[in-house]
Amino acid sequence: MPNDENSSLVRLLNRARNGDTAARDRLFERCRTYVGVVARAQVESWMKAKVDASDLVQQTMLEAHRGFANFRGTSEGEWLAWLRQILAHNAADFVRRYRGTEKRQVRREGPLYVRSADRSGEYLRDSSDPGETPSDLVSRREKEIELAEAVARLSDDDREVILLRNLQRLPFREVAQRMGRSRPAVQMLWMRALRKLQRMLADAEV
Amino acid sequence: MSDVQQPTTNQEDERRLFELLDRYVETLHREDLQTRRSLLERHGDLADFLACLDSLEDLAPAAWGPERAARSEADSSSTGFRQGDVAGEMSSDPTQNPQAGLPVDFGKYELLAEVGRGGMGVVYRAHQKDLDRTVAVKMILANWLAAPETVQRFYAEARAAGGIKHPNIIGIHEVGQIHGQHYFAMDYVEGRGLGELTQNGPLDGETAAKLVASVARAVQHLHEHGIVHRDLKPSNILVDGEGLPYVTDFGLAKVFNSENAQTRTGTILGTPSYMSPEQAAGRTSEISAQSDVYSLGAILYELLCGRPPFKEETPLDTLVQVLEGEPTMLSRLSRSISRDLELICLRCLEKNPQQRYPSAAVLADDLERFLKREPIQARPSGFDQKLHRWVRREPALVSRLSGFLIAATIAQTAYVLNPVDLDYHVRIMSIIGIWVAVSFLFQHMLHHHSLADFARFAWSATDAILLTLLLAVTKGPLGPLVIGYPLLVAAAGLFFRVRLVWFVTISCLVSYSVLLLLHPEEARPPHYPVIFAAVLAVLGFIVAYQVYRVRVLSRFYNRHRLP
Repeated sequence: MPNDENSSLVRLLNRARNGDTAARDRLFERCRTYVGVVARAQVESWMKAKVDASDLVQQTMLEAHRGFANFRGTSEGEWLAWLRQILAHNAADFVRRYRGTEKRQVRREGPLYVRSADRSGEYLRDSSDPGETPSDLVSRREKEIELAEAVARLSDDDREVILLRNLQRLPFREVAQRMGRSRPAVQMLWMRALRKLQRMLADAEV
Repeated sequence: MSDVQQPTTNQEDERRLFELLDRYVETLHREDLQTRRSLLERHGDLADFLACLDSLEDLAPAAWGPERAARSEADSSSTGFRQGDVAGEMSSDPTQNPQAGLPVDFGKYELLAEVGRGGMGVVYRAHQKDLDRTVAVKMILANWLAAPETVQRFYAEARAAGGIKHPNIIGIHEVGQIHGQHYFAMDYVEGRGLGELTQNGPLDGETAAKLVASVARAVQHLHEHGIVHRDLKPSNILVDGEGLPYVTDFGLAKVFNSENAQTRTGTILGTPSYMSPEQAAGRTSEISAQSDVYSLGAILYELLCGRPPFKEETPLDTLVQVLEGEPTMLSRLSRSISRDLELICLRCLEKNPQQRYPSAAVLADDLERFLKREPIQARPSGFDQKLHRWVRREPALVSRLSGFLIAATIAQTAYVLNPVDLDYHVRIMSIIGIWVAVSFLFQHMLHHHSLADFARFAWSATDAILLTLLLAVTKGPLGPLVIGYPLLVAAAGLFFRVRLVWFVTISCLVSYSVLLLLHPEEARPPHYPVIFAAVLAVLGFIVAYQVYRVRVLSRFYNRHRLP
């Protein structure tokens, strides 16, 4: 099933590249949820407030659509990474526009290096382990679209707690505050949401 | 991911599981790889859960902060956006081009670096391969050109602009479309926006006058070719290393600012700080060369004092100021600014286009006269014009003064007609006199940014107190004189602050109660004061609600504005 899904995305990608516009539309439709989840997490963790990220998603999809010819990757992972990159550009703009004054510099400075990661176990990464290849990085991404879809399918409260705790990395104290509940309550909610997520992913894999 | 973790019923187990998972998430956030690995080894039974947390972590954005953000960019740039660079060939070389994804082939251009980003598109420095030259390529964001008629107008406008050649204008070479991406290619100027020049403080008068004179000449050239720029602002004027200005992005504002485009995208509204009143009010048919003259004046003003003539906290307040207010006099902001330049600015910033310079060329002439130390053409305004400006600049003071004048005239007439009680008349007149003096004091405070908010509240409270005092010393039945209270409430609405309206309403209610204590005979029949107070409260509510509605519109406008 997941392999089907994966290969279908790659198939769509190939067909879209060969000029099949219907496939192209389907490809973008499939990725919208993913971009939506990542976008929300991204801008909200920067803004520290709940924002309407739909403009950002729209903009990102438009730019991806337009720049499609520039995309040369072949795997799903590369594709998602490409989307995320466009999203990151736009998100920085979006944040700056919201704050008004912030300069564009932030993401442009500082040394660049590829985050070290490896996959010697399931999703294992360790900076002390060399020998990682970029394609490993890529294949880690391949779970993401399913996960994003699963997150989007959660109930509102479940999704919120995952977004705040895992994607925005807020401590539970703050998660509780944001959701207007007690800390034990959000912790229980989190456990429940994780179980549901994990079940959804497991079901997708069977 | 084989078996699903059975939910434990035991509370203790649940708690332990939570702590473990939470700890695991923390190690992920800290990127504490050692602890993470040991956790993974010890809890192989929870591998599915932990893998799920891992994936969520991958989905999360890089944490805030340049290092991590840059890292994530490197991370993602390693996977495909680079032209002809597939993932396998990527290195983790730290000296990689931070402009990920570039260079990129784009038709006959090779995009080299992103040099700017505006509301309507992204500008790249590019190499034109056939002519072997450096150009700037501006990509129009797709949502700006969603409708076919907008595309047509964009092309028409860009073609018209394409014919323009002038040393201080960025020429447009070509407009076109590659892979559905609309773009235009233009001269590349190594420089920065005019706005950046004032970041280290205002410019001296001569430099500013020279710059604006050159820009005005260029704008005149546009006007002679039938193009009104419509969007002159510091960010649309580039300044090269030698300090020469270049006008860019002309005429396009017309395409994108059409009513049609506004309703569709809702994101087109820029800052109104440099917009002429006729543009700010949306009277598009009145936009003319004089609108650009206004914007030139606003730019000159900013170069001289470091801020545009009108810049309030929200675009709505700015808009109100552009339409109705008067800019703070330059000589007030800095003594070193020449009086002549101030006159030139004021002439450009006239609300009525007819009173501005008739053309950009005349403005340039006047600036050059200033530079040659010849007498300038712009004349200090006459008395009535000054009065007019003062009224617009100080509406709060002027409205009160006119009220006082009317009240004092009536009191004086009454006394002249029936001069019985001089003592009483003096008392009335001195309260009005005190009120006038206090008003000037508060007006003065309004001009100091740190005191302004306090001044508004204190002024309103003082109004209520002095009105009460005045009514308290008045002899005989007050009758319609208590209309002063509703007047204060209504006037408070002019500041567009909900809290202020409530504050004034409550002050008035309190003052009215005090007045009734002093004049118990006014409380007859006893239900009249109750009715009056209730109506006062309702009036306060209505005014506050209207102000609130305007604020909501303002917020909407604010959200959809571009930097």
